[in-house]
Amino acid sequence: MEEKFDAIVVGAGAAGLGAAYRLAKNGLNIVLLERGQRIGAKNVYGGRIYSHIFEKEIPEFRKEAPIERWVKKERLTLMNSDDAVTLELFSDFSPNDSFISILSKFNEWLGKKVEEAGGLVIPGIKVDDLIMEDGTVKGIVAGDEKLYADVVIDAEGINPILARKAGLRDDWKPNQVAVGVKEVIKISEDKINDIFQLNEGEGVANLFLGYPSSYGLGGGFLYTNRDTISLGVVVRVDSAIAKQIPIYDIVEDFRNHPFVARLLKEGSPIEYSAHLVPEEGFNGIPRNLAGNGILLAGDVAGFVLNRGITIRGVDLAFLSGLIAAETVKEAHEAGDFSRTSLKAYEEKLKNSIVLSELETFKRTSTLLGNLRFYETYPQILCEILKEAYTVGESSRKVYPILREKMKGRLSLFTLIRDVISAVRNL
Amino acid sequence: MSDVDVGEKLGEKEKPGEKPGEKPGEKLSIEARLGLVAFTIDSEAHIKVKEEVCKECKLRYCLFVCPAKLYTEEDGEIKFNYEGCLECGTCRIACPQDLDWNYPKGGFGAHYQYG
Repeated sequence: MEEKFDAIVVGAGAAGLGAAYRLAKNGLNIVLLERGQRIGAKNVYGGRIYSHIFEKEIPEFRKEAPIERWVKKERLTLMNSDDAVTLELFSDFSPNDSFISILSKFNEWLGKKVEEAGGLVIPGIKVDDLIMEDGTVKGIVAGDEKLYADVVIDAEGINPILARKAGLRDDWKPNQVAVGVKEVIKISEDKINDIFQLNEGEGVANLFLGYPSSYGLGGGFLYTNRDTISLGVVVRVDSAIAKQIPIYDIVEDFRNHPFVARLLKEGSPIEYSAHLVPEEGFNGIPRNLAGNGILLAGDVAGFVLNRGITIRGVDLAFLSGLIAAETVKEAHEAGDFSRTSLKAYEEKLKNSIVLSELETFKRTSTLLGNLRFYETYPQILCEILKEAYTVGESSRKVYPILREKMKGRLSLFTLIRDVISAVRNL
Repeated sequence: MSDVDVGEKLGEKEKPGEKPGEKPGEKLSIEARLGLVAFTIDSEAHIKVKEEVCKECKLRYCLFVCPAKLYTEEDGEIKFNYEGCLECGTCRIACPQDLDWNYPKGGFGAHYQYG
Protein backbone atom coordinates (compact mmCIF):
# COMPACT_ATOMS: atom_id res chain seq x y z
CA MET A 1 0.00 0.00 0.00
CA GLU A 2 1.28 3.37 -0.88
CA GLU A 3 0.65 5.77 1.96
CA LYS A 4 0.84 9.45 1.22
CA PHE A 5 1.33 12.09 3.89
CA ASP A 6 0.57 15.78 3.71
CA ALA A 7 4.15 16.36 4.81
CA ILE A 8 7.24 14.40 5.82
CA VAL A 9 9.62 16.11 8.24
CA VAL A 10 13.20 14.82 8.19
CA GLY A 11 15.11 15.13 11.46
CA ALA A 12 13.89 15.66 15.01
CA GLY A 13 16.10 18.55 15.98
CA ALA A 14 14.63 21.86 17.05
CA ALA A 15 13.69 22.78 13.45
CA GLY A 16 12.01 19.49 12.56
CA LEU A 17 10.21 19.37 15.89
CA GLY A 18 8.95 22.94 15.43
CA ALA A 19 7.69 22.09 11.95
CA ALA A 20 6.04 18.84 13.02
CA TYR A 21 4.46 20.46 16.08
CA ARG A 22 2.82 23.29 14.12
CA LEU A 23 1.76 21.00 11.25
CA ALA A 24 0.16 18.55 13.67
CA LYS A 25 -1.58 21.40 15.48
CA ASN A 26 -2.93 22.53 12.13
CA GLY A 27 -4.40 19.07 11.67
CA LEU A 28 -2.21 17.94 8.79
CA ASN A 29 -1.33 14.29 8.33
CA ILE A 30 2.41 14.29 8.97
CA VAL A 31 5.29 12.05 9.94
CA LEU A 32 8.53 13.10 11.64
CA LEU A 33 11.44 10.76 10.90
CA GLU A 34 14.52 10.70 13.13
CA ARG A 35 17.64 8.56 12.65
CA GLY A 36 18.39 8.38 16.39
CA GLN A 37 17.17 5.42 18.40
CA ARG A 38 15.06 7.85 20.42
CA ILE A 39 14.25 11.55 19.94
CA GLY A 40 17.22 13.57 21.17
CA ALA A 41 19.82 10.79 20.86
CA LYS A 42 21.79 12.57 18.12
CA ASN A 43 21.37 16.17 19.24
CA VAL A 44 24.39 18.02 20.63
CA TYR A 45 24.85 21.73 21.38
CA GLY A 46 26.55 23.97 23.92
CA GLY A 47 23.92 24.45 26.50
CA ARG A 48 21.64 27.47 26.39
CA ILE A 49 18.29 28.25 24.75
CA TYR A 50 16.56 31.63 24.46
CA SER A 51 13.04 31.17 25.73
CA HIS A 52 10.67 33.68 24.21
CA ILE A 53 9.72 31.76 21.04
CA PHE A 54 8.98 28.63 23.07
CA GLU A 55 6.92 30.61 25.59
CA LYS A 56 4.84 32.02 22.76
CA GLU A 57 4.29 28.74 20.94
CA ILE A 58 3.83 26.26 23.78
CA PRO A 59 1.61 27.57 26.61
CA GLU A 60 2.71 24.87 29.07
CA PHE A 61 6.39 25.47 28.33
CA ARG A 62 7.44 26.90 31.73
CA LYS A 63 5.62 24.20 33.62
CA GLU A 64 6.74 21.21 31.59
CA ALA A 65 9.99 21.78 29.70
CA PRO A 66 13.11 20.06 31.07
CA ILE A 67 14.90 23.24 32.09
CA GLU A 68 18.09 22.76 34.08
CA ARG A 69 18.64 26.34 35.24
CA TRP A 70 17.74 29.90 34.22
CA VAL A 71 20.76 32.02 33.31
CA LYS A 72 21.52 34.51 36.07
CA LYS A 73 25.18 35.22 35.29
CA GLU A 74 26.72 35.90 31.90
CA ARG A 75 30.48 35.57 31.85
CA LEU A 76 33.19 36.19 29.29
CA THR A 77 36.65 34.91 30.13
CA LEU A 78 39.86 35.66 28.24
CA MET A 79 42.55 33.10 28.85
CA ASN A 80 46.15 32.29 28.26
CA SER A 81 47.72 29.01 29.35
CA ASP A 82 48.02 30.06 33.02
CA ASP A 83 45.78 33.05 33.65
CA ALA A 84 42.19 34.15 33.09
CA VAL A 85 40.43 37.53 33.01
CA THR A 86 36.65 37.41 33.51
CA LEU A 87 33.89 39.93 32.92
CA GLU A 88 30.61 39.05 34.58
CA LEU A 89 27.08 40.41 34.21
CA PHE A 90 24.84 39.47 37.12
CA SER A 91 21.26 40.38 36.35
CA ASP A 92 17.59 39.54 36.24
CA PHE A 93 16.98 38.87 32.56
CA SER A 94 13.21 38.34 32.72
CA PRO A 95 10.95 38.38 30.83
CA ASN A 96 13.41 37.63 27.99
CA ASP A 97 15.23 34.91 29.83
CA SER A 98 17.44 32.19 28.54
CA PHE A 99 17.73 28.81 30.12
CA ILE A 100 20.27 26.04 30.27
CA SER A 101 18.99 22.69 29.13
CA ILE A 102 20.24 19.33 27.88
CA LEU A 103 19.24 19.29 24.23
CA SER A 104 18.74 15.51 24.16
CA LYS A 105 16.16 15.86 26.93
CA PHE A 106 14.63 19.07 25.61
CA ASN A 107 14.05 17.57 22.17
CA GLU A 108 12.67 14.38 23.70
CA TRP A 109 10.11 16.59 25.46
CA LEU A 110 9.31 18.46 22.22
CA GLY A 111 8.80 15.08 20.55
CA LYS A 112 6.13 14.30 23.14
CA LYS A 113 4.46 17.63 22.41
CA VAL A 114 4.33 16.71 18.70
CA GLU A 115 2.67 13.40 19.57
CA GLU A 116 0.20 15.12 21.90
CA ALA A 117 -0.67 17.43 19.01
CA GLY A 118 -1.46 14.36 16.90
CA GLY A 119 1.78 14.08 14.91
CA LEU A 120 3.38 10.75 14.09
CA VAL A 121 6.97 10.59 15.37
CA ILE A 122 9.18 7.68 14.30
CA PRO A 123 12.73 7.39 15.66
CA GLY A 124 15.29 4.88 14.38
CA ILE A 125 14.67 5.76 10.70
CA LYS A 126 17.42 7.31 8.62
CA VAL A 127 16.31 9.00 5.43
CA ASP A 128 18.79 7.99 2.73
CA ASP A 129 17.42 9.78 -0.29
CA LEU A 130 14.67 11.89 -1.79
CA ILE A 131 12.21 10.63 -4.37
CA MET A 132 12.55 13.09 -7.24
CA GLU A 133 10.23 13.22 -10.23
CA ASP A 134 10.72 15.90 -12.92
CA GLY A 135 12.71 18.06 -10.53
CA THR A 136 10.07 17.82 -7.82
CA VAL A 137 10.47 16.12 -4.45
CA LYS A 138 7.75 13.52 -4.03
CA GLY A 139 8.87 11.73 -0.90
CA ILE A 140 11.76 9.99 0.79
CA VAL A 141 13.67 6.73 0.71
CA ALA A 142 14.68 5.05 3.96
CA GLY A 143 16.38 1.69 3.44
CA ASP A 144 13.96 -0.36 1.36
CA GLU A 145 11.00 1.81 2.29
CA LYS A 146 9.55 4.63 0.25
CA LEU A 147 7.24 7.23 1.74
CA TYR A 148 5.33 9.79 -0.32
CA ALA A 149 4.14 13.25 0.64
CA ASP A 150 3.06 16.54 -0.90
CA VAL A 151 6.09 18.19 0.63
CA VAL A 152 9.26 17.31 2.55
CA ILE A 153 10.55 19.64 5.25
CA ASP A 154 14.27 19.00 5.31
CA ALA A 155 15.56 19.59 8.84
CA GLU A 156 18.34 17.03 8.50
CA GLY A 157 20.87 19.08 10.43
CA ILE A 158 24.32 20.43 9.69
CA ASN A 159 25.46 17.75 7.24
CA PRO A 160 23.54 18.54 4.04
CA ILE A 161 23.07 15.12 2.50
CA LEU A 162 19.50 15.56 1.21
CA ALA A 163 19.63 19.31 0.54
CA ARG A 164 22.52 18.71 -1.88
CA LYS A 165 20.55 16.00 -3.65
CA ALA A 166 17.68 18.46 -4.00
CA GLY A 167 20.14 20.94 -5.50
CA LEU A 168 19.32 23.52 -2.83
CA ARG A 169 22.77 23.98 -1.38
CA ASP A 170 26.45 23.13 -1.69
CA ASP A 171 28.39 21.42 1.01
CA TRP A 172 30.01 23.56 3.71
CA LYS A 173 33.59 24.66 3.34
CA PRO A 174 36.01 24.48 6.28
CA ASN A 175 35.73 28.26 6.88
CA GLN A 176 31.93 28.06 7.20
CA VAL A 177 31.61 25.56 10.04
CA ALA A 178 33.17 24.90 13.42
CA VAL A 179 33.66 21.62 15.20
CA GLY A 180 32.41 21.56 18.77
CA VAL A 181 33.42 19.01 21.39
CA LYS A 182 31.75 18.73 24.77
CA GLU A 183 32.14 16.92 28.07
CA VAL A 184 29.39 16.67 30.62
CA ILE A 185 30.76 16.61 34.15
CA LYS A 186 28.86 15.25 37.12
CA ILE A 187 28.79 17.50 40.21
CA SER A 188 26.03 17.64 42.82
CA GLU A 189 23.45 20.42 42.62
CA ASP A 190 24.48 21.88 45.99
CA LYS A 191 28.13 21.94 45.04
CA ILE A 192 27.38 23.73 41.78
CA ASN A 193 25.40 26.33 43.74
CA ASP A 194 28.37 26.78 46.12
CA ILE A 195 31.08 26.85 43.47
CA PHE A 196 29.28 29.32 41.20
CA GLN A 197 27.47 31.23 44.00
CA LEU A 198 23.98 30.55 42.69
CA ASN A 199 20.60 30.15 44.28
CA GLU A 200 18.46 27.16 43.40
CA GLY A 201 17.44 27.17 39.74
CA GLU A 202 19.94 29.87 38.74
CA GLY A 203 22.73 29.23 36.26
CA VAL A 204 25.93 30.56 34.69
CA ALA A 205 26.69 30.86 30.98
CA ASN A 206 30.42 31.34 30.49
CA LEU A 207 32.19 31.80 27.15
CA PHE A 208 35.97 31.70 26.89
CA LEU A 209 38.42 33.15 24.38
CA GLY A 210 42.06 32.30 23.78
CA TYR A 211 43.59 29.19 25.29
CA PRO A 212 40.58 26.80 24.98
CA SER A 213 40.57 26.89 21.16
CA SER A 214 44.39 26.75 21.11
CA TYR A 215 44.17 30.44 20.07
CA GLY A 216 42.36 29.44 16.87
CA LEU A 217 39.03 30.90 15.70
CA GLY A 218 36.53 29.69 18.25
CA GLY A 219 36.29 29.48 22.00
CA GLY A 220 35.29 27.55 25.05
CA PHE A 221 31.98 27.33 26.90
CA LEU A 222 30.75 26.31 30.31
CA TYR A 223 27.09 26.00 31.26
CA THR A 224 25.81 24.92 34.67
CA ASN A 225 23.11 22.29 34.41
CA ARG A 226 21.21 21.30 37.54
CA ASP A 227 23.66 18.62 38.69
CA THR A 228 26.10 18.49 35.79
CA ILE A 229 28.31 20.96 33.92
CA SER A 230 28.53 21.19 30.13
CA LEU A 231 32.09 22.10 29.21
CA GLY A 232 33.22 22.39 25.63
CA VAL A 233 35.35 23.94 22.92
CA VAL A 234 34.42 25.09 19.43
CA VAL A 235 37.01 25.64 16.66
CA ARG A 236 36.38 26.70 13.08
CA VAL A 237 37.49 23.83 10.87
CA ASP A 238 39.82 25.93 8.65
CA SER A 239 41.52 27.25 11.78
CA ALA A 240 41.90 23.73 13.21
CA ILE A 241 43.54 22.75 9.93
CA ALA A 242 45.83 25.81 9.75
CA LYS A 243 47.02 25.38 13.32
CA GLN A 244 46.95 21.57 13.23
CA ILE A 245 44.93 21.50 16.44
CA PRO A 246 44.35 17.99 17.85
CA ILE A 247 40.59 18.35 18.31
CA TYR A 248 40.34 15.11 20.33
CA ASP A 249 42.49 16.67 23.09
CA ILE A 250 41.28 20.26 23.39
CA VAL A 251 38.39 19.82 25.80
CA GLU A 252 40.61 17.87 28.21
CA ASP A 253 43.28 20.57 28.02
CA PHE A 254 40.55 23.10 28.79
CA ARG A 255 39.19 21.07 31.72
CA ASN A 256 42.69 20.88 33.16
CA HIS A 257 43.44 24.59 32.80
CA PRO A 258 44.15 25.82 36.36
CA PHE A 259 41.14 28.20 36.27
CA VAL A 260 38.68 25.51 35.11
CA ALA A 261 40.24 22.69 37.14
CA ARG A 262 39.45 24.63 40.33
CA LEU A 263 35.81 24.96 39.35
CA LEU A 264 35.39 21.34 38.36
CA LYS A 265 37.67 19.51 40.79
CA GLU A 266 34.66 17.87 42.47
CA GLY A 267 33.46 16.20 39.30
CA SER A 268 34.38 13.75 36.58
CA PRO A 269 33.17 13.48 32.97
CA ILE A 270 30.18 11.24 32.28
CA GLU A 271 29.74 11.87 28.54
CA TYR A 272 31.74 13.10 25.56
CA SER A 273 30.19 14.35 22.34
CA ALA A 274 30.93 16.26 19.14
CA HIS A 275 28.94 18.23 16.56
CA LEU A 276 29.41 20.78 13.79
CA VAL A 277 28.12 24.36 14.08
CA PRO A 278 27.30 26.74 11.20
CA GLU A 279 29.57 29.76 11.63
CA GLU A 280 29.01 32.08 8.72
CA GLY A 281 25.70 33.60 9.75
CA PHE A 282 23.74 35.43 7.05
CA ASN A 283 26.31 34.85 4.29
CA GLY A 284 26.20 31.09 4.79
CA ILE A 285 22.48 30.82 4.05
CA PRO A 286 21.66 29.23 0.67
CA ARG A 287 20.00 31.47 -1.91
CA ASN A 288 16.96 29.20 -2.23
CA LEU A 289 15.36 27.83 0.92
CA ALA A 290 12.50 26.27 -0.99
CA GLY A 291 12.42 23.97 -4.01
CA ASN A 292 9.66 22.06 -5.72
CA GLY A 293 8.14 20.02 -2.89
CA ILE A 294 10.85 20.81 -0.34
CA LEU A 295 11.78 23.39 2.33
CA LEU A 296 14.99 23.73 4.36
CA ALA A 297 14.88 24.54 8.10
CA GLY A 298 17.39 24.76 10.95
CA ASP A 299 21.11 23.99 10.70
CA VAL A 300 20.97 22.73 7.11
CA ALA A 301 19.89 26.27 6.17
CA GLY A 302 22.58 27.80 8.41
CA PHE A 303 20.22 29.50 10.89
CA VAL A 304 22.75 30.07 13.67
CA LEU A 305 23.65 33.52 14.95
CA ASN A 306 27.09 33.91 16.51
CA ARG A 307 27.46 37.39 17.96
CA GLY A 308 30.74 36.63 19.65
CA ILE A 309 29.32 37.17 23.11
CA THR A 310 26.25 35.00 22.55
CA ILE A 311 25.39 32.13 20.21
CA ARG A 312 21.80 31.38 19.19
CA GLY A 313 20.60 28.41 17.21
CA VAL A 314 17.89 26.34 18.86
CA ASP A 315 15.25 29.08 19.03
CA LEU A 316 15.92 30.21 15.45
CA ALA A 317 15.77 26.61 14.24
CA PHE A 318 12.48 26.01 16.04
CA LEU A 319 11.01 29.23 14.63
CA SER A 320 12.15 28.36 11.10
CA GLY A 321 10.31 25.05 11.54
CA LEU A 322 7.14 26.86 12.61
CA ILE A 323 7.38 29.17 9.61
CA ALA A 324 7.97 26.23 7.27
CA ALA A 325 4.86 24.61 8.71
CA GLU A 326 2.80 27.76 8.13
CA THR A 327 4.01 27.87 4.53
CA VAL A 328 3.07 24.23 4.03
CA LYS A 329 -0.39 24.84 5.48
CA GLU A 330 -1.01 27.62 2.96
CA ALA A 331 0.37 25.50 0.12
CA HIS A 332 -1.91 22.68 1.28
CA GLU A 333 -4.93 24.97 1.10
CA ALA A 334 -3.90 26.20 -2.35
CA GLY A 335 -2.98 22.69 -3.49
CA ASP A 336 0.29 23.98 -4.93
CA PHE A 337 3.65 22.66 -3.72
CA SER A 338 5.85 24.05 -6.47
CA ARG A 339 8.73 26.39 -5.67
CA THR A 340 6.57 29.29 -6.85
CA SER A 341 4.15 28.56 -4.03
CA LEU A 342 6.68 27.44 -1.38
CA LYS A 343 9.01 30.38 -1.85
CA ALA A 344 6.59 32.35 0.33
CA TYR A 345 8.69 30.66 3.06
CA GLU A 346 11.65 32.88 2.15
CA GLU A 347 9.53 36.03 2.46
CA LYS A 348 8.11 34.91 5.78
CA LEU A 349 11.61 34.24 7.11
CA LYS A 350 12.76 37.69 6.01
CA ASN A 351 9.88 39.21 7.94
CA SER A 352 10.70 37.14 11.01
CA ILE A 353 13.59 37.40 13.43
CA VAL A 354 15.24 34.37 11.80
CA LEU A 355 16.56 36.33 8.85
CA SER A 356 16.23 39.87 10.22
CA GLU A 357 18.48 39.10 13.19
CA LEU A 358 20.97 37.24 11.03
CA GLU A 359 21.04 40.15 8.60
CA THR A 360 21.55 42.70 11.39
CA PHE A 361 24.71 40.86 12.41
CA LYS A 362 25.83 40.15 8.85
CA ARG A 363 29.18 41.85 9.32
CA THR A 364 29.81 40.35 12.73
CA SER A 365 31.04 37.12 11.19
CA THR A 366 33.76 39.07 9.37
CA LEU A 367 34.79 40.59 12.68
CA LEU A 368 34.73 37.17 14.30
CA GLY A 369 37.10 35.91 11.60
CA ASN A 370 39.81 38.22 12.93
CA LEU A 371 42.35 35.89 14.52
CA ARG A 372 43.70 38.61 16.84
CA PHE A 373 40.56 38.33 19.02
CA TYR A 374 41.47 34.74 19.79
CA GLU A 375 45.25 34.83 19.62
CA THR A 376 46.70 38.22 20.48
CA TYR A 377 44.17 40.01 22.68
CA PRO A 378 43.42 37.32 25.29
CA GLN A 379 47.14 36.79 25.84
CA ILE A 380 48.08 40.47 25.92
CA LEU A 381 45.21 41.32 28.27
CA CYS A 382 46.17 38.57 30.71
CA GLU A 383 49.80 39.71 30.66
CA ILE A 384 49.03 43.41 31.12
CA LEU A 385 46.59 42.91 33.97
CA LYS A 386 48.91 40.49 35.67
CA GLU A 387 51.69 43.04 35.67
CA ALA A 388 49.38 45.92 36.63
CA TYR A 389 48.14 43.98 39.65
CA THR A 390 51.61 42.82 40.70
CA VAL A 391 53.49 44.89 43.29
CA GLY A 392 57.24 44.44 43.46
CA GLU A 393 60.27 46.64 43.91
CA SER A 394 58.97 49.19 41.43
CA SER A 395 55.75 49.56 39.49
CA ARG A 396 54.92 50.89 36.03
CA LYS A 397 51.89 52.64 34.66
CA VAL A 398 49.53 50.58 32.49
CA TYR A 399 50.33 52.37 29.21
CA PRO A 400 54.07 51.56 29.16
CA ILE A 401 53.20 47.95 30.02
CA LEU A 402 50.74 47.90 27.12
CA ARG A 403 53.34 49.26 24.68
CA GLU A 404 55.89 46.73 25.82
CA LYS A 405 53.48 43.81 25.45
CA MET A 406 52.41 45.03 22.01
CA LYS A 407 55.95 45.18 20.69
CA GLY A 408 56.33 42.91 17.67
CA ARG A 409 52.80 41.51 18.12
CA LEU A 410 50.45 44.39 17.46
CA SER A 411 50.66 47.94 16.15
CA LEU A 412 48.74 50.76 17.80
CA PHE A 413 46.99 51.39 14.48
CA THR A 414 45.78 47.78 14.25
CA LEU A 415 44.60 47.88 17.86
CA ILE A 416 42.56 51.04 17.25
CA ARG A 417 41.13 49.66 14.02
CA ASP A 418 40.08 46.42 15.75
CA VAL A 419 38.49 48.29 18.64
CA ILE A 420 36.44 50.42 16.22
CA SER A 421 35.44 47.35 14.22
CA ALA A 422 34.42 45.51 17.40
CA VAL A 423 32.38 48.44 18.67
CA ARG A 424 30.62 48.76 15.31
CA ASN A 425 29.87 45.11 14.67
CA LEU A 426 29.34 43.30 17.95
CA MET B 1 23.83 -6.90 12.24
CA SER B 2 25.32 -7.14 15.65
CA ASP B 3 24.90 -4.97 18.69
CA VAL B 4 28.11 -4.47 20.62
CA ASP B 5 28.47 -2.32 23.68
CA VAL B 6 31.56 -0.50 22.55
CA GLY B 7 31.72 1.28 25.91
CA GLU B 8 33.26 -1.83 27.36
CA LYS B 9 35.48 -2.38 24.41
CA LEU B 10 36.90 1.11 24.10
CA GLY B 11 36.80 2.15 27.74
CA GLU B 12 39.98 2.03 29.75
CA LYS B 13 39.98 -0.33 32.64
CA GLU B 14 39.44 1.66 35.79
CA LYS B 15 41.65 1.03 38.77
CA PRO B 16 39.59 0.50 41.89
CA GLY B 17 38.88 3.75 43.68
CA GLU B 18 40.62 5.81 41.06
CA LYS B 19 38.75 6.87 37.98
CA PRO B 20 40.89 8.42 35.28
CA GLY B 21 40.37 12.14 35.02
CA GLU B 22 38.99 12.47 38.52
CA LYS B 23 42.00 14.34 39.79
CA PRO B 24 42.63 17.78 38.35
CA GLY B 25 45.70 17.84 36.19
CA GLU B 26 45.07 14.33 34.95
CA LYS B 27 43.96 14.10 31.34
CA LEU B 28 41.39 11.55 30.30
CA SER B 29 42.52 9.70 27.20
CA ILE B 30 40.26 9.82 24.16
CA GLU B 31 39.70 6.06 24.50
CA ALA B 32 38.44 6.55 28.07
CA ARG B 33 36.15 9.37 26.96
CA LEU B 34 34.71 7.27 24.12
CA GLY B 35 34.04 4.66 26.79
CA LEU B 36 31.57 7.16 28.30
CA VAL B 37 29.41 7.20 25.17
CA ALA B 38 26.68 4.61 24.61
CA PHE B 39 26.96 3.10 21.12
CA THR B 40 25.17 0.48 19.12
CA ILE B 41 27.64 -0.69 16.52
CA ASP B 42 26.57 -1.81 13.07
CA SER B 43 28.50 -4.68 11.50
CA GLU B 44 29.20 -2.48 8.51
CA ALA B 45 31.24 0.74 8.42
CA HIS B 46 29.25 3.90 7.60
CA ILE B 47 32.38 5.82 6.58
CA LYS B 48 34.92 4.33 4.23
CA VAL B 49 38.37 5.68 3.47
CA LYS B 50 39.62 5.18 -0.05
CA GLU B 51 42.92 3.41 0.58
CA GLU B 52 44.61 4.36 -2.68
CA VAL B 53 43.59 8.01 -2.47
CA CYS B 54 44.53 8.31 1.21
CA LYS B 55 47.91 6.68 0.60
CA GLU B 56 48.81 9.49 -1.79
CA CYS B 57 47.30 12.26 0.37
CA LYS B 58 49.96 14.52 1.85
CA LEU B 59 47.58 16.66 3.93
CA ARG B 60 45.93 14.08 6.17
CA TYR B 61 43.89 16.55 8.20
CA CYS B 62 41.77 13.63 9.39
CA LEU B 63 44.58 12.56 11.73
CA PHE B 64 44.05 15.58 14.01
CA VAL B 65 40.59 17.03 13.29
CA CYS B 66 38.56 13.94 14.24
CA PRO B 67 37.23 14.57 17.77
CA ALA B 68 37.34 10.82 18.43
CA LYS B 69 40.85 10.28 16.96
CA LEU B 70 39.54 7.47 14.80
CA TYR B 71 41.89 8.07 11.88
CA THR B 72 45.36 6.64 12.37
CA GLU B 73 48.39 6.09 10.20
CA GLU B 74 49.83 2.62 9.89
CA ASP B 75 52.76 1.91 7.56
CA GLY B 76 51.92 4.97 5.50
CA GLU B 77 48.27 4.02 5.13
CA ILE B 78 45.25 5.71 6.70
CA LYS B 79 43.13 3.45 8.87
CA PHE B 80 39.69 4.40 10.11
CA ASN B 81 37.80 2.79 12.97
CA TYR B 82 34.10 3.56 12.56
CA GLU B 83 33.23 2.23 16.03
CA GLY B 84 33.30 5.22 18.32
CA CYS B 85 32.35 7.70 15.57
CA LEU B 86 30.60 10.71 17.13
CA GLU B 87 28.85 11.46 13.78
CA CYS B 88 29.85 15.12 13.62
CA GLY B 89 31.01 15.26 9.99
CA THR B 90 34.24 17.16 10.63
CA CYS B 91 36.30 14.69 8.60
CA ARG B 92 33.92 15.11 5.69
CA ILE B 93 34.37 18.89 5.73
CA ALA B 94 38.14 18.84 6.34
CA CYS B 95 39.02 16.06 3.89
CA PRO B 96 40.20 17.51 0.57
CA GLN B 97 39.52 14.14 -1.07
CA ASP B 98 36.12 12.69 -1.77
CA LEU B 99 35.42 10.80 1.44
CA ASP B 100 32.68 8.15 1.37
CA TRP B 101 30.78 9.54 4.35
CA ASN B 102 27.41 8.57 5.73
CA TYR B 103 25.56 8.56 9.01
CA PRO B 104 25.17 5.11 10.59
CA LYS B 105 21.93 3.28 9.79
CA GLY B 106 18.84 4.39 11.68
CA GLY B 107 19.02 3.47 15.36
CA PHE B 108 22.76 2.73 15.20
CA GLY B 109 25.77 4.73 16.32
CA ALA B 110 26.00 7.05 19.33
CA HIS B 111 23.11 7.53 21.75
CA TYR B 112 23.72 10.81 23.52
CA GLN B 113 22.04 11.39 26.84
CA TYR B 114 23.53 14.80 27.60
CA GLY B 115 23.90 16.27 24.10
